[in-house]
Amino acid sequence: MRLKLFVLLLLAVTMPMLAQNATIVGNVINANTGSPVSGASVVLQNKDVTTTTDFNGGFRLKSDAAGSEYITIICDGFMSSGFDVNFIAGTTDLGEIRLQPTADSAIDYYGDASDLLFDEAVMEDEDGNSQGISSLTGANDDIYYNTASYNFSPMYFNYRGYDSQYQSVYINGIKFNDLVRGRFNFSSLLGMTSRAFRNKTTTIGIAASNYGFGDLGGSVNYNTTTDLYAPGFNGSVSYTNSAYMLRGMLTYASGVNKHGWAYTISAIGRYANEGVVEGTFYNSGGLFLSLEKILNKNNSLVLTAFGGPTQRATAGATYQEAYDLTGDNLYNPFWGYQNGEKRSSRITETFDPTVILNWLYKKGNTSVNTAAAVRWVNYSRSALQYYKANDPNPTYYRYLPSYYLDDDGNPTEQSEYYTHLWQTDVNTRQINWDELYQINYLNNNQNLSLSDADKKGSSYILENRVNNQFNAMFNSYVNTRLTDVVSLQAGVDFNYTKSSNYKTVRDLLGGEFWIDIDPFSDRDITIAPDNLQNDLDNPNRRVYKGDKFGYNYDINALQANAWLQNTITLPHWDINYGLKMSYTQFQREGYMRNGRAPENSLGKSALLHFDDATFKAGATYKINGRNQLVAHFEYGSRAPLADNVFIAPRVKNTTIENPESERDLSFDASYVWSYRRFRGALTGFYTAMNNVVERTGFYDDRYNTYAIYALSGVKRAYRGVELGMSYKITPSLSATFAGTYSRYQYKNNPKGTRSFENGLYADTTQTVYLKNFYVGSTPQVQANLGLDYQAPKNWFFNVNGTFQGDSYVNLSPAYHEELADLWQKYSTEEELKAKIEELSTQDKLKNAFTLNLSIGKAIYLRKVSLNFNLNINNVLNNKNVVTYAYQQGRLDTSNYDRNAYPNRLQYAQGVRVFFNVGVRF
Amino acid sequence: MKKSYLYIASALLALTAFTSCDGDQVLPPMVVPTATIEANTTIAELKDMYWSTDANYVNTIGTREADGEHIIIKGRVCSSDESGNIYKSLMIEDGTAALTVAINAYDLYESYHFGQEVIIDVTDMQIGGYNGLMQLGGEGTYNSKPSMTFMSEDVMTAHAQVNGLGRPQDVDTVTTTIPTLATAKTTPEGLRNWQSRLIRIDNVQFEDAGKPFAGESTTNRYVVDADGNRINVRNSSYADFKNDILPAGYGSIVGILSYYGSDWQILLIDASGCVDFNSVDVPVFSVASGNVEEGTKVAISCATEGAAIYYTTDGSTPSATNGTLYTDPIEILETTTIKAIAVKEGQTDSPVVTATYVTATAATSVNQNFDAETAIPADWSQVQIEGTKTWYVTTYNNNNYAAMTGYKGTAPFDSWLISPAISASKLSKKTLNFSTQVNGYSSTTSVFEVYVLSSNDVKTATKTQLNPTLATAPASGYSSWTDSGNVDLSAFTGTIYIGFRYYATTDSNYATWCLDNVVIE
Repeated sequence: MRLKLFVLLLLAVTMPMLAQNATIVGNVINANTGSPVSGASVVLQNKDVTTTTDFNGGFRLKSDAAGSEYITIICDGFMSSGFDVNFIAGTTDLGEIRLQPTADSAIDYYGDASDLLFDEAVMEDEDGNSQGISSLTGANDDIYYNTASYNFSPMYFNYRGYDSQYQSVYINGIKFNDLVRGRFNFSSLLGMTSRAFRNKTTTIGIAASNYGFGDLGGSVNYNTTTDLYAPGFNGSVSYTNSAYMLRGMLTYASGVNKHGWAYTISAIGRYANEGVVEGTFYNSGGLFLSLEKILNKNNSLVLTAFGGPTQRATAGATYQEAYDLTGDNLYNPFWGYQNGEKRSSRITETFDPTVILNWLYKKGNTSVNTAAAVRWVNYSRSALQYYKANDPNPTYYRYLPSYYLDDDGNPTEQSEYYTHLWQTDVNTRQINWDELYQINYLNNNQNLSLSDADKKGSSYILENRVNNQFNAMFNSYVNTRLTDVVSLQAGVDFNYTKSSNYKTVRDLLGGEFWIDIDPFSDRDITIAPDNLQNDLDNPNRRVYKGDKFGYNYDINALQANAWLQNTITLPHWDINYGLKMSYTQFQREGYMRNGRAPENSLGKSALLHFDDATFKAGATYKINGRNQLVAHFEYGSRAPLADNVFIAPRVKNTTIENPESERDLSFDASYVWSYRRFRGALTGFYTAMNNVVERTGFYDDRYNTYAIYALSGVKRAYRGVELGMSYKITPSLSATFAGTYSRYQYKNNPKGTRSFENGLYADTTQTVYLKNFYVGSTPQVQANLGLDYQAPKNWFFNVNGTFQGDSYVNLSPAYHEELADLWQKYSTEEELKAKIEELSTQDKLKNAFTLNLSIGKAIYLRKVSLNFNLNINNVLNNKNVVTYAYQQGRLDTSNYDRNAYPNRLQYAQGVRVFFNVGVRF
Repeated sequence: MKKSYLYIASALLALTAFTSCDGDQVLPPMVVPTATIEANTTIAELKDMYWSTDANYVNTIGTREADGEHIIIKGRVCSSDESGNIYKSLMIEDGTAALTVAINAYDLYESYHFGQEVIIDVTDMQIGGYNGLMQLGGEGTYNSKPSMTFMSEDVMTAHAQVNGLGRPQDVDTVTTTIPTLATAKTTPEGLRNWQSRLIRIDNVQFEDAGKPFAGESTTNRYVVDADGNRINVRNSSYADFKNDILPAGYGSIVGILSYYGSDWQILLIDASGCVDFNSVDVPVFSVASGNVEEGTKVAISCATEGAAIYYTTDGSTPSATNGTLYTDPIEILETTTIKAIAVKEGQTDSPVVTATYVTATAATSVNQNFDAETAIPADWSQVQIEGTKTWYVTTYNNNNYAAMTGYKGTAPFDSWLISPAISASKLSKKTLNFSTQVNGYSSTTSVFEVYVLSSNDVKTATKTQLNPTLATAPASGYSSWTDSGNVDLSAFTGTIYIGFRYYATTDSNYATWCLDNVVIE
């Protein structure tokens, strides 16, 4: 392993000459979480002098005369704070000023309910691989971002259209994004986001933060330092009709004892015998521990450990035809009856135990956070596998009535028969487990009369697709105030990830054994018999329950980053700039010699490594205490993801040709206003991503093989306008509007490489015409209008309506290629043009409107407080909201029928209730 | 604060405008086949070079005489085998002529689209005749003699390239008539020029309307034009429209003009080759064309229910926008030509039919002694039903009279001399008087008869024979002039004519009948 040494550029620090005035500086922090409060107004009551705090919570005020002044600090969501200060010549540092959040801050309204968002934010691609959805985490001072966090559902919403890999998630300063796939798996927080992971700092977009360099889509740092938790007991029980039904959570924070020890423990359980989607279930339990030892005034150690096993059955995207046949937009094809009991074929099991050790050092103006962490990711998802047997999936196209329509699309006797079966026979519309067992038993019977060598394997099994990881991470960052005006943040981090990928036999379904060959390659057997073998060194190996088979490889990845950032705080200006340099490497190591790539599947691939750098800068101009202009800029490169670079990692070491880092440019500008009753921000942003790599996989009928389509050199542009406004109609009633109008588009015609897993055909590379098509599966227009009423006697009401629109289907490159033979079907220019247009058309999802209600009530007794929350999402029970959809990868080249392989899509549930009772003492 | 609103609003507007420019989505380019060879010979030239009057023969195409270069032709595909009616063939035309290319393959329409340009290097390919149809193909035998058959598809692929996409609008469809084609097939030039062309014949109807296009085997269905000329429309039992019903009424036929043996056969590309056959029935006049009395009323009817009839009397072609909508019978006051058309929403207009009515000004008296005449008077007429001998005016003893004889002619004779139209009811005395003289020459078959005719068209007119006193032939020489006596005409009304008939069958000699002093009053 080769690790490059970085030499960080020393950033020149300009020191503006300051007038000989009396100056005060300070940092405003959230009294509950310790995180900085940015955007707070700091006002000298008797003079017309105001300023706002920067991202660090820092501010700087000067007065031309010495003397006593009354300072007021005002920030939405916090109680105002006011006190006297004495101006003396020179600079006075007020240190940390703690602001107490008001009880009605969003987290109390929505916090518990929003835990749900973090659990469900996963969608799947055609291959059944899950794709991350970026989840927003809320921030107190940005109306648009807050609303987006809590109310821009149920369509899957990607902040500014970015994939989740562009959002960094830190826990105690360590970035926990997956090195291989780029994303952070929010479900690893076990649904404890409203309690154990309550304390967090959110950075929006490319603004600066003090815990890390951040990313295009912003970042969040969960802080589990023990002494930040309010001492006491906190418990809650919730009911919801969602993926789970019941949730119980207990948290106890000890507070710091006289020996400097503190601990916080938390436990959570989530359960559903059957979730809102038929055939799903949910079982999850988790534990969390944060233990702190304050060594002395300057040093403390924090140990954080959490983890919990989760087992759940999930649903997935399928065809509109299946939804129509069943009359149920939550139709789930992944279950069926076995002996009269529901059984799911798609069970996800996760267990990600994580341990983090932090050493916190703080002295004077300097704080240092050093951390080491290890995490073991255990992830598996089950699926049915079959060989020389009928496809067990009920939505296989030959089981759908549409396959039997006549040429004009009219029903036939057969199609009507299938329609009848779908509507009356549960074993048609769901998996017929009994039949799978029966067929396997028949195999067994046949085997009785055969010699051992001739015995046949099972026709069906349930397999586990395992994707485990081991992560070792180290991180250290420093935050120091160099002068009154200038502060510096810098950090280094290191991540080693070993990702292990293989399949195991989960259940033989009554069969004797499974033969480890590739069912897709069966048709190639006469041409290339070796193609059948997943493991050429152990051909036709018999595998039994628990055995690894199919594929087995590791991705070893390593990343090191170093960053440095200066911030300058002046009365009218906040300026920051910074540089990050990073080194990334990864390598595939195969443990099976695959018959479809005998030369380059076993052993290590070439080591790929990338050097990257990113520069960012930002400035805030405070026109006065009530109005400011903010602008940010970032330009840099980022290494491609191992997940995209290896074309067919399950088979071979081959990568896309000349993998290169992508280059991203982003800037945004905002106008922020903050009046007594009316505040808000208007932001415009533009981001260009160049040289992006995308990869999809699908079964291609034409070539009887699994095919992978890798796009490289993709250019995407994201631009839009965001508006967030809040108006206090009365002190207790406020109206909020948040909306975005954006365009997320492809901006060039990249190269696409189609690769065939069976290896019988050479890879082909062609131009894919994508320019100005849309990045799919996220709404590009959204608006939310809400009313908050903070009624007497601790009643809280919120009603809001959300519109989401302009969301497009994830497109398939096959529909955007030059089609050499198309003219043979459509002879005239007009017909040909019309067909090309028809094939290229990107379907748009239905616009969605949902109405949501929340009611909260807090009861404060002498030592105990109780709170009740009722959230009703989608009150109008709109069952027609498509959360995401994608076009199938393959194209019907015999008839060029656009509907031959219809889109797959998933719908959101209708009304969703979340009721929570909490107790604190 | 007010200012802020303004700032926010204008910034919002500007940003939204910036965002909303989505740009045009770039579609994959059309892939259009492009030929790399260029034509140097027209189809007409090629056909000319290798034409033979033999029905069956095979030639291998050589190179150009002038420069030894390969012969390359270019044509647009004017056929399609998609419907199955045209079998293993495609036809190309280049404006000069058309050529059948026989290829041993199905679904040629997928590789060679209707209207698509095909460029063929024909050197070394086989050209010849199969039952008189010149074609590019392969060598076979017919009745133990070399003859054309299908070439293998590989040969075609090796020699032909398609260029561009189908441009159906550029395919030359030649509009012609059945008589034109009947004439064309009598000359080699005509055959070369017309064979394999995409043609259109207007205003024809199927003889077998109401039957299917084809039965269990290939079926000949004739179309016939208004004049009774016929041409064969040959439909394959493999055509996907074979069970469709042949349309009734008049319409147009569009198809490939193929040839077999000694006659044309039209091959429809598909059922849409029957164009506009849903015509409205032809309007019918209540009175036939011809002489009519002034004031005659002509009704026009159409069997198609709900059809409207438009007519003109000025000679122009009637249509839904030209002419008069027919409501009541038309009164004929003078000689008139009526053109009529029947139209109905959703159906093609009927063919235009024409009727001409002549209102001869009927005389109220006639007094003709022929003395002022040297030929048959202009208001008289004559008709020869048989024979070529005619009535004439001659002189004897300063008396002019009309006469007719079979002398020196070839029998039979049936020659009529017809008076001007006479308004029977307006005659004062309602009598006919005339004189006759006859020279018998021993004839036995010559007859002179007098009739009242309802029109001057002897063939169709109603004839009523009169019984006047006539001269009797003497043994030799002329008889004397004999007065007919007053023949009563009071039984007749309307417009009548008096027809004087000379009739004779083969004989050794023929009589000469003379007529004079015709008085009708």
